[in-house]
Amino acid sequence: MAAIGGLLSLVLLDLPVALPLHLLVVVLLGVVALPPIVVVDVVLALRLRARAALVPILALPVLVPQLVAATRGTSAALTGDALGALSWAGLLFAFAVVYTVVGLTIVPAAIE
Amino acid sequence: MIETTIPRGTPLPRIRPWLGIAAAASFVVASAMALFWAPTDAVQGDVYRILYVHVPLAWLAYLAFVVVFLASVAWLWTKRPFFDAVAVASAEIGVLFTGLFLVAGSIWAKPTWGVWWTWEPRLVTTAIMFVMYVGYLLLRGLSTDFSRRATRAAVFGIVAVIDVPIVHLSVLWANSLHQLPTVLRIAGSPALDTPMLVTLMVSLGAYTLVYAYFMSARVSLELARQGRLWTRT
Repeated sequence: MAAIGGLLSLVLLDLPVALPLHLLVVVLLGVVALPPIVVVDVVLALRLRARAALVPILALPVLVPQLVAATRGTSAALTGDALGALSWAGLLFAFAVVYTVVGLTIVPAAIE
Repeated sequence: MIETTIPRGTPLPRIRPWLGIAAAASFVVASAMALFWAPTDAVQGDVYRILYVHVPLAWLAYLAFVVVFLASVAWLWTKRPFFDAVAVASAEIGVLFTGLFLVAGSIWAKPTWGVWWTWEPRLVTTAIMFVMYVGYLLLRGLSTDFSRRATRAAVFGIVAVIDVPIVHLSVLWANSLHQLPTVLRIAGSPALDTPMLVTLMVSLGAYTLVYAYFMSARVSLELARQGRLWTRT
């Protein structure tokens, strides 16, 4: 889905891509970095009556820094700022690692 | 069911009045120092004096959420209800101080930057931190079973605290409108006049005492509530 969306926006908006490889790295890391925290929140809210409302409320604030990093990295890759794209990609990578590790270590405790 | 008796002989209730007096007195001293003793800033004039409110509030917001984190880990580790009480107390106080922190920052931003709010990384991440801990309290409010509620909240408290260093580092990552951290800089000594620095330190101490007083009051309230609600079933 992310790939289709990304390709579509590139084609439809006719974006000039200065650094295609950097863009690919940022997009891939963005796709990897976003899900873990959502899964954690889903597990947390699993048994609650208001879970449908609670999951987005819990997930959105945690996701926003990653979304900011992903958009900033993407715009850096599009405009040709290689260092910027890589540093935002590094931040996304850190998010992915940290939230995956945290999720795998403490979520079993939450499931019981 | 879980035992939630308040441990006998805790020094908490006995020192609390003294803690309150110390907090109030140091708060008065710090405010007087900030308003009358500290010199006027060369660039910003008297407006900068809100620094003595803004920075301690920020410090307390971070401190409160680190305490939430430690208490959450301790709860998952030991399952002692005391730690859950500490976590919820600290989270509530943290939300309060983060809110005040944002308000004070906004009041400072208007005369110096010309805007009340701007979508700048530091401000956004702080607002996110605020929303995140409101979510923490919401998650607690929606759960019914004591130990499950505490575990859920603890997991979310641990996840949320990862945001706190990001908030601080985001200033360094993104060159932006917000001034760089003045006290905790990577290289060299703080970029402040000595009287200003002393005043700031006294303010930090005073606000920390206020936090300690709020904590002692809120924790004993939560322990009493645990004893009333959760042991009966």
